Amino acid sequence: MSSSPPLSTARAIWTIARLSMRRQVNMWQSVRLARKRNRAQSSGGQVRSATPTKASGRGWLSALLFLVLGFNGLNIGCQGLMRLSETTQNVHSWTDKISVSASTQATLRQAEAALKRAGEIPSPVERKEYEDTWRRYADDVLLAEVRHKRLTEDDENQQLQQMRDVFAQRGADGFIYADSDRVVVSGETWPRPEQAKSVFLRSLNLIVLLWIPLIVCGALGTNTKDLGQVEWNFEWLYTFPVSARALFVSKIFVYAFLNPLVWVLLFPFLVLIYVAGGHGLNALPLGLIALLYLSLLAGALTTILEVAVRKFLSLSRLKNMQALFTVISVVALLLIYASALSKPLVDFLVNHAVAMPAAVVWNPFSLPLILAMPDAPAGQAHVAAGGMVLSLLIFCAFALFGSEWLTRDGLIKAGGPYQGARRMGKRSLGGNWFRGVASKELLLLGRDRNLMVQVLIVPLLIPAFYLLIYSGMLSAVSGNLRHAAMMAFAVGAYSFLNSAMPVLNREDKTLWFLLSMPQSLTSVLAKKTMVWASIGLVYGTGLLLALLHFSRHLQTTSWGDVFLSLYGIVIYAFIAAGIGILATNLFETEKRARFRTDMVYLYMILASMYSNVIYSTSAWAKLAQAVLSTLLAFAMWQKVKDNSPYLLDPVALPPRNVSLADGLIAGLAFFVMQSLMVMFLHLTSALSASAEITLAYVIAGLIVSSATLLILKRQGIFDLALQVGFALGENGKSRLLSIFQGAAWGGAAALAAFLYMRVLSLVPSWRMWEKDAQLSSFLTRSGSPIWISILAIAAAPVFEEFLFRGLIFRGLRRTTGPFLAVLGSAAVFALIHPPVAVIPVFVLGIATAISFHKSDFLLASITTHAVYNACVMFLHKP
Amino acid sequence: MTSNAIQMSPSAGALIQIQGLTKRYGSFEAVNNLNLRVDYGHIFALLGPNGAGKTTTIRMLMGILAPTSGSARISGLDCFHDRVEVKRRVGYLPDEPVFYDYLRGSEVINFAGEMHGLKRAEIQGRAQPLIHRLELRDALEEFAVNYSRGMKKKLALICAMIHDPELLILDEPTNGLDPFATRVLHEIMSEKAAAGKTIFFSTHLLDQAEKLSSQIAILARGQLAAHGTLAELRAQLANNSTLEEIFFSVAGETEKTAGA
Repeated sequence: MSSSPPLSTARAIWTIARLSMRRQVNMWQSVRLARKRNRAQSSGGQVRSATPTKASGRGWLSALLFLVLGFNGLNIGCQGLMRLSETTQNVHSWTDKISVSASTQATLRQAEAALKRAGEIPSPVERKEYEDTWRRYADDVLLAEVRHKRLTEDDENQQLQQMRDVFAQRGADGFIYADSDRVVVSGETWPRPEQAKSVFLRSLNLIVLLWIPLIVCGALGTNTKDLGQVEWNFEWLYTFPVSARALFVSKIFVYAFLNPLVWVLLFPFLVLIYVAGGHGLNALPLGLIALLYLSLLAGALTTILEVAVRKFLSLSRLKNMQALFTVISVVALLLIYASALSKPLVDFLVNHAVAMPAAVVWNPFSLPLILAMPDAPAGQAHVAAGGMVLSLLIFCAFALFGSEWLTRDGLIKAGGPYQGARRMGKRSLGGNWFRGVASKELLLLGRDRNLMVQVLIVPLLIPAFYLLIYSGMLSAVSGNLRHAAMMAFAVGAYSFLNSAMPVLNREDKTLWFLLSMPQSLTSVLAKKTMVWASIGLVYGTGLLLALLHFSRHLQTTSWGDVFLSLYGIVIYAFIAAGIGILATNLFETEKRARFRTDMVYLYMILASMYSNVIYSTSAWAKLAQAVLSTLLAFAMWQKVKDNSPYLLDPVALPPRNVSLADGLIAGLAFFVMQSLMVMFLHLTSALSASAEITLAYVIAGLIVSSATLLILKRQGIFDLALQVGFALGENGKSRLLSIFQGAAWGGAAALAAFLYMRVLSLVPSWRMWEKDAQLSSFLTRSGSPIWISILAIAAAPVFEEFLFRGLIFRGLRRTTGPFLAVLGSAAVFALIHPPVAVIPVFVLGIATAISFHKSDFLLASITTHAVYNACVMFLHKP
Repeated sequence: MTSNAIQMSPSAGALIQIQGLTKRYGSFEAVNNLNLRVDYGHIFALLGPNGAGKTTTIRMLMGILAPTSGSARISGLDCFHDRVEVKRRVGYLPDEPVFYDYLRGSEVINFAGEMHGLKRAEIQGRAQPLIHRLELRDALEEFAVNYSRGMKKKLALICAMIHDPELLILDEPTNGLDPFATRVLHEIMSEKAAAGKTIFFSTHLLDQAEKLSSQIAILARGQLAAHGTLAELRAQLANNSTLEEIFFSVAGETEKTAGA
């Protein structure tokens, strides 16, 4: 018999709430970016523990994240309110004047006055000229005003004509100066004229009504919850001698106050509303009160909705419901963002606000807005405050009593065969087209509505969102085949974030099942990736076909771009899966920290690099980068294959070496950066073409090499200098000897280049081509300052050798042996150079690779390259 | 350290050969210099207290973990390097099987069979008698994630036996099964052994080991504390009669010498 008195309800609520807060704080503190290091050579013994070590001092990372999000919320709030204010003041129902900026209005007044004085000019010719000048001036100012709004071309012309007409009829009086030059919300943002004030309030009401589904559905639809099962902790809490009422109150509390993301986004918005209403410094506490009020309402709604949904729906329907909630919350979030950024949407909103009756504003969610309204009648504020208290009580009571009543028969409704209603499921489809892994993946996709939404629907929502904001984008995408191809690739690549990247992460606790099959894990994962690649391909193709069909101007003049975009989708599925597999830490129990999120950014950067393939004008560059991307996919999977036996046993993993994948990523980055640099230099400086190319190589090489070294160092590669070739190994020859040998190889390569040039010059059409391609200046550098030549000889080889020999050659050599490695690294090296110089560069690549292989010393191959450059440059005479 | 010493008469060569198997995590030794052999057609029980290294040994046999030193071989194939070939011959039942969220029991069995290269008709033919015996038929059309713990184990057992392997590795097989299912499982194990298959299971239910197994090994703190048939163990240790007393004396001894 228990001797201690039973817990009072209030104390029970407080205890449970404290527990949830503690749990939330622990979760924040364990957000980390670094993978737990399980290296055999790490200092200190490994303590065998079931829970992963919490990263120390990483709580600040969460804090930083919240700060950034808060700033984002502030920004969006500002923009949204400013735009809303401007649009509200613009509506023609109470003023038929066109709103323009202050400077435009001043100019128009000036022009009007000047045109009036035109009559004072005696000479008709001069008068005409005078009038024309001033008319043109006014016209320019109007044009600038219209351009500022960034409309489509048709709308632009229409607006311009309208403005011209108004100016001709009524002069500058047809225009009103609107406060649209400000960037910060101030006490005047809420329009003061009666009607405008009311319309502003109604529009805000509509926006706030968008926030509520976001909060409620966001809490229910997220991935970390499984609606199909009552959380173990709720079931566990039920076993304590605490009344159900206390549990539900604590649930409301948790939903209301432990939703940090919503807080950092919503709080700035509410404060800004109060600032706009002219409340000044009171805006902060008022905003806080509004936030607490709205959170409690949303928390109550979430609780009762969750209990009701669990009570009335069967398990499979529950999962579908969860998917629906996800979609609703994503759409709500996008609409909220769009309401700040997209002019058409704001216009739509305001027009509906005008049509809405004013009584609609008196709904429980918008009562804080009524409090915010400036210059309100005295009684109104009191009524609103009273209404807030009342609705709070009603909502919480409804949630509490409703939940209690719903669970009077028990906590769980439907379960397995021994836990409730036994329901015979539908017979599974007899289709036997796909066997094994592929059919399992597709079955899962078909049944897991959540996954389906993430993989199939969200990639379409994001471009739709962008189309909504940037009205000019639709015409751009349907007018230019390149843009359409890029969009198709982007949609496909984005879908892989949720489908192919988590291909190992999704396995989670069921990995034992795959590991007990007589198939290597790598092949199973590859098959899964192929399924996702096909789906992404279907998406890209579908999007392209839709764009081709519905747009007027599009023709497939370049099938190459279309093919490259679709090919890119397939390759990037494998790159995404490869990165995802290598970034998953299977031992991490906390779902959020299982996956290294910085790898997601790596994937996005790589995907955006592919845009170079589609937009580049040189066919060679497109081909070269496509080949490099393919090689990268192969290299990543090579790494996956090396790592897969040790997935559950990271202690036994061999120490991380510099691999081919690192070298290829660096090579890709070098390639893209180099072409960007050429473009940049071309636009900003007046150097000759050859100087541009040289400088571009050097700068790109510098940036990429230092970034690569930094990243490799951060990842803790054992003995980096030795690995890469900066230092000499034990079995290396003396340095001088290797340098001399290197120089000898360089001379040999230069000789080969000369022979090549001689042979080429025998071909008659060569002379013409040489002039066209500016080849002679490329090779002779005549007319360039001396420092460019020194850069070409001394600096460019250093970075190129580091990348291609230090990284790529070494990585290849480990897996394919020296012979193939020499050829391979030389081929990649030749790929990134302009096509005219392919053969001599290939020979140079072989020479440098051999000289590096013989000595394992980077300086040797640098010498080779430098000697070659020097010979070719100075000794070649046109 | 009382090590192995007792060798069975080498009949047809051992199915499982473990030599010097060691697994180290930093300075912690989960398994230390294990030497074992399991012959064809025997039921082999691996006993030990919690944290003795039983699951680690089984995972090394399945190729999930790489041994720090030493080797484990099944039918002469190395368990880590040739694990794909090894898995053709082995059926594995883990301690806590977890299944995919949206697959029915029947689909899980079909998937397992397909991964082993069997055709649908074969899978049905082999699975039906087992399903009937384990009384799983009604639940097969439900999603596997909703099964109770015992039913998940039964499902995993069917998946482990679907390809008729010559070795069954079971990690705490009756943990979570009700008495009916336990009896059925014991019957199945005995039948398989009589038919010439080999069974290697870990448990800490001493009477189960006593009743079923023909060879026993006792692990404590990663080291082999005793090995042999029940009769040999009794003879070796001279005094005790039940397995329980042997276990306490042997495992407790190692606890004492290791703890010190």
